[in-house]
Amino acid sequence: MDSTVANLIHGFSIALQPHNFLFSLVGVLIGNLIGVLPGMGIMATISILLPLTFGMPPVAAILMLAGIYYGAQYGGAICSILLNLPCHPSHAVTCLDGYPMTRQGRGGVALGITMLASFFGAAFGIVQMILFAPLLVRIAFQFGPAEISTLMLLGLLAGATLARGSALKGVAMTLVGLILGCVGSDLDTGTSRFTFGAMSLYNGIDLVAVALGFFGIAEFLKSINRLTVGDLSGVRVRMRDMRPSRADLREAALPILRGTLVGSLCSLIPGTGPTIASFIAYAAEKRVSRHPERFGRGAIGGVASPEASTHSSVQGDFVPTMSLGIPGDAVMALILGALIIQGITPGPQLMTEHPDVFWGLIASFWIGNILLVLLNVPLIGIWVRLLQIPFRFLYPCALFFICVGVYSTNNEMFGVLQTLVIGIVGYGLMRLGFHPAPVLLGFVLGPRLEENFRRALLLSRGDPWTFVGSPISATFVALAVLLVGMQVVLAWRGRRRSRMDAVLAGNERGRRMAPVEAPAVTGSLEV
Amino acid sequence: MHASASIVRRYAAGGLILLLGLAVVLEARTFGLGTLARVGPGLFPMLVGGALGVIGLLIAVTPEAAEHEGEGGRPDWRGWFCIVLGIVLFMVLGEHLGLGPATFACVFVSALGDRSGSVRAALVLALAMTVVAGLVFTLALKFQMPFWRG
Repeated sequence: MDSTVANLIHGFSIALQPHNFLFSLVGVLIGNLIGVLPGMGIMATISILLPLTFGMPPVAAILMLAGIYYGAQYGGAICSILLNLPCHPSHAVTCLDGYPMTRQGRGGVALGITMLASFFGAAFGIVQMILFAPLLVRIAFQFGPAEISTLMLLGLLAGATLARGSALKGVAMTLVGLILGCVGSDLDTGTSRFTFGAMSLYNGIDLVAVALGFFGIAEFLKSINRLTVGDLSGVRVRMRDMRPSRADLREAALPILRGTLVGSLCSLIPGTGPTIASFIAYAAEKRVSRHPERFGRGAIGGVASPEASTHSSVQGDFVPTMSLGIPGDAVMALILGALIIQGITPGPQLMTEHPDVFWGLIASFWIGNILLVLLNVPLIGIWVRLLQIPFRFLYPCALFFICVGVYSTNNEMFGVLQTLVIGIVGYGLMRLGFHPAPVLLGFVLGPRLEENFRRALLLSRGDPWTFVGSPISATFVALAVLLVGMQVVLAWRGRRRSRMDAVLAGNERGRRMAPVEAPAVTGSLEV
Repeated sequence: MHASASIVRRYAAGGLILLLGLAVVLEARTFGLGTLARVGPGLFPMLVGGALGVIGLLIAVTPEAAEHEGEGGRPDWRGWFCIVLGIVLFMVLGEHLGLGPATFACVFVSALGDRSGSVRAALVLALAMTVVAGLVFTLALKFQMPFWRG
């Protein structure tokens, strides 16, 4: 315990260094801004800024990218509550009760409660990371290549089947990601794979090109002329409107607690990101509430619980990513990719080899979340005005940043061409009902999965039973089989129409505006 | 969605994945599979390709729940054309004329893709972004591509 405190103090000394603090601040501000703007996704933003971080020291880079991720969660709620637009899928349920509150003139209170719930959820998630990550690391140190391969297999399967849309299509997209990760020269032998003679492909496809193709260009191709800006007339939110009354606080306290717990549990299951956490929290809250009829008509619990859950899950998501090197969703995969580009190998050794990164990140979470609460209250007026920037001004600028960002990674136009091709293919895949998030998971984990797979076979002199040879890896394989079995049973039961979609269907306007970035809304979990 | 359209799409999606899997398997065989004890560069992609083929078949034969279908509606061709052309122009002009003209063309052309905007608004936006590109990328960040290739 003492060492934890010492580590935390070390972390704060890192995070409070002027330039680290500055980048953390820049990150949360950009994140908050992106969260507010309808039509801009977190994935696109992080990937646009990714090339900029290549020249930065690793700690500053990671603090900034992480700041964008959790900062965007604060902004997304504003959009949902005031405009009824689920700009970011993890806040889609917040619309259900947040917007009715706005129409009753209580939008400010809803925002105030959201801030409280967010901070509480985030704080819990960070504590979870402090306590859990070192524990996981201790276990993970006993992993050999066979265990790592099976764990990755489990993580990929979970990410693919629990994510939004059909489980089969999710698995297909993960496999496509694995193939994309194979492109380039083979690490062991130098054989060039899937390069088709193009010299520029020898180093593999760029992470930035994959991310911006799928989450930037493909998304813009999908949402152009389909996004409308909401009407803010009659909505006025001032600072003092945000202060909840004592009765409001009493009503929100328990939902916040329950939402936080749901979020932290969800973050421990790979593949269940904040979106699923928020849906489950809302459904659970409605079930335990003594006044379920109030839900959908401006119940404070319907805002507090999913928001707390989103934030605790966002912070908790960093646990498997930082301790095992297995990202839970696409955003985490991108942040992991950024670490790899910085020359830091993710995995259990990260915490001992790069304590600055790990503990600095945790300290920056505290600082960033406090900053966000402090900033959001006085800045609320500005955010409300920014909500009205039309998409038609945003996307051309974003396209320009995409081009410049991709060009700057290698200083060649070939990257831009790659991104464009991936974007067009990605759009086609989306039209066929595939969701792109698992591609990124496969792409980032693929090379490491292959490496460990080959090493495990080498160590066992070609015995494939090595993958179920130790109790740990046998457990992972059993869990993977269980996961697949569960999906088969669910599919067997017929065309289930999940309640979550029914919830969304009730939100007419929300359906018309497709969320611009949609990592993980489950269709298979019964909520 | 219409039932037959949904079936067509199911076969299209499954068939595409199946074909992709087959292509990957065929290509991967040429890399050298090695032995199990010394896995060659081809084995892993071949396994992935094989799995992809199986999943493609399964997608084609599994009826899907309605909520899993993709984004409805036809693509917006004007938006499409302008976005793609904007990026192509960035590549061509960036290579031959420099960052300034590339930025202007990219922002201007892609902004025209929006049906509610005017040419004038697109022009103003493109000019503003070109100024930003010059100040931020060329002057502040020392971007590799010259602003104007004389």
